[in-house]
Amino acid sequence: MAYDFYVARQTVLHKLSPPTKVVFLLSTSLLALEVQDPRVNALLLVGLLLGALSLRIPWRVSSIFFRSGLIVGIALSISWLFFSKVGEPLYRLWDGIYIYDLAIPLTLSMLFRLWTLLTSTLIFVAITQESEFIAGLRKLKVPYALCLTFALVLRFMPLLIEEYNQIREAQMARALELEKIPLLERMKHFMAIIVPWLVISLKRVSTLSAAIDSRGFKITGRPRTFFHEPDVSLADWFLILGLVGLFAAVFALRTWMGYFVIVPGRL
Amino acid sequence: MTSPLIRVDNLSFRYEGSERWALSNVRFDVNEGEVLGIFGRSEAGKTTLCMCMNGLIPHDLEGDLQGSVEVAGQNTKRTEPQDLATIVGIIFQEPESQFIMTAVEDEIAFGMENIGLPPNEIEERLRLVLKLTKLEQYRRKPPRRLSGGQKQRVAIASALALRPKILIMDEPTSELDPIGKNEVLAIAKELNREHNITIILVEHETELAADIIDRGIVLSEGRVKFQGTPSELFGNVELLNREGIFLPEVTEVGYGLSKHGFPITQLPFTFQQGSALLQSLLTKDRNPV
Amino acid sequence: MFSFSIKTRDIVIAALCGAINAVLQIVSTFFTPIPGLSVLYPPSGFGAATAVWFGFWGWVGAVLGTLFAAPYWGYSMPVAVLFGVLTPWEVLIASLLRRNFDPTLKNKRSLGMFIGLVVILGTFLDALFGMLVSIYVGYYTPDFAFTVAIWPWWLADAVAAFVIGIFLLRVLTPYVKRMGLFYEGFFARKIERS
Repeated sequence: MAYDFYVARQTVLHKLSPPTKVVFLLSTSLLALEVQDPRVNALLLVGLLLGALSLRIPWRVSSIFFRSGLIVGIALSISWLFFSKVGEPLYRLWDGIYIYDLAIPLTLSMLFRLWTLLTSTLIFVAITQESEFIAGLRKLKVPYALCLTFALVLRFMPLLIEEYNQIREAQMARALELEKIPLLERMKHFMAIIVPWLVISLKRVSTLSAAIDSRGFKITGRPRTFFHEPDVSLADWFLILGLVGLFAAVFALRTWMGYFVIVPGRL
Repeated sequence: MTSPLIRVDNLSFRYEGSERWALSNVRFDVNEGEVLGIFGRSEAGKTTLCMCMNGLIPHDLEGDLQGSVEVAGQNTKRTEPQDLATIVGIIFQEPESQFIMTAVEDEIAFGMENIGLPPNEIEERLRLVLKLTKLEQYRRKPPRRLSGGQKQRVAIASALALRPKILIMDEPTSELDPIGKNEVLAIAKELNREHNITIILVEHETELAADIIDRGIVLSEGRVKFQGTPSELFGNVELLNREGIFLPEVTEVGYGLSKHGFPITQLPFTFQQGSALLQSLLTKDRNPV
Repeated sequence: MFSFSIKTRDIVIAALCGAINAVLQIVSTFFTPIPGLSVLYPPSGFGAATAVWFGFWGWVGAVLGTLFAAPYWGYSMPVAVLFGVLTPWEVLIASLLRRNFDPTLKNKRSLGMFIGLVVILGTFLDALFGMLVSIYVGYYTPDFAFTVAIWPWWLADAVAAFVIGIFLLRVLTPYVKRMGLFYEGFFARKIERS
């Protein structure tokens, strides 16, 4: 178990400024959610997959997204193929259960949508360091207190994962079985890891708060500066405006002219 | 005569909800450029005293505070720790619990951003403190990937970046290996000797502390049991034994020798003193140390 | 009458709870007898406990946890915000009702309230809103969501809130209080009456 998605490369995507990366994530996600037409979703997905391939993301990172995409994809497909009643019945599976004609394009559309959402997140985490993520949010006027909260979560997740693994291994070395046992036993043994892990974590609160205050941090009442001020180049601005414009155009076409829709009245 | 940089006057404190006084009538001064060692067993009140000196008590940790603490003329009851950050820095025992950012330079820059320094000044101070703490090559590294000694040096650098006059180090070496301990205390010594930074050092490793302190106090159950120079402090073996404070090994050796009739008028507390003592005894020097 | 301002400690607690919650979400994949079907969702239990200890900031931690564990659950981050804000009802209910029961759940009334309102009702609302969000973003159809998917979601949350939530509250509440971390108010650690 690890939480380390950033892939250090020097690609065009890596060189985008932090706010552009955040806008990229938001706009591609919202675009995927707006569109029901599987052809458009497929186009978006192919574009993002090519982008992801160009990054040469290691399997240890992409496997996480691949796995969740597969599992949720199976549930989604079952849901849309066998549990949607849109259009006319196409195939009769057994008594009362049909596959409807619009279920097939909708299944494809939602599947492509799911994978588009995952791929855009994969690209985002692969090209964005933690400090860039925070800087990007800051540049988009997210209050600094919230940015600091996010920064602390990102700072502590790898440490907590490490400590969890250490405690788990220590307990297993004391013959605590965690895998080949009934579920109820596994839950009990799980507590033997969780309790010390939580105690260690909670003990940090006082020291960390003291350390932050001792370094002059005030939530309000004192203007702060920033060491890294991300440069937003002309190219970044074009990209941001382009992505926002694309989203707005698709939104307008869908809302007022009914494009990209199979089932009106839903995302 | 210049006034002391830190004045602790009749300080008493008990934590909210507690009946026990963590500190009772503590009184001492610290002059600019001094290194004060604070010693005592666990729960003696050392950390509480440290937190009183930078305003964390009473602003962050509530309780009943009586008496006063003044640092560089600022009363800590009336000044928040955030405003004292440019006067007094603090290093805690556990390195991981005091890091906020995921890169060394961001960690060090955090404090400077908080006080509103412009980026070019942040860069200048960053370079300086990285050089002082010998961390230049680790600038972009995540602090969690450094060794214990390096982590504490990052903590020191982060505090130093705000140019405090005082640095409080609360058991900075307790979780470090011997190399890490030496690294951290060497930096502390250099900061004091070369840059005149006043240091408050809470340390169980008396051997290492003895080498740098100018004065020491012993706390016991929240009270000051002793204040004095290192030779007075480490010469008071009975007190140190009673308070569960480990003697430096050279002091133990000297004490043992004095018990066996060797003429020792002053117990050594540094390696150099111990070495000189043994040399004089072995060469049957009739002018004992 | 009452006043409060956000303190550094509030941010730190929310962030640490968020980080712990996110790691627990990742860990919960170990409790899946069938891939994709979790029978124990530890973040529910932990979230309920932190909501009792820290009020609002425990709820914020639950939201943050979902956001940062998103890749492991097949959500993109923007979709995870929807899930994070709209689903942790057991955490929200626990944070709102915390002052009406003994946080160690040592008496029957407190235990009954916790089981009824947090474990059963709260997790049901969690599952319900989880389905609504899943339908909204197109993961599930309404038929599938309310006949198939809702039950394992509810079961996993309820089991965790019952087993882990009650255990943590009984065992760790005295410790949280001793450390001075327990929150008197919904937002503020100390209620300053003016």
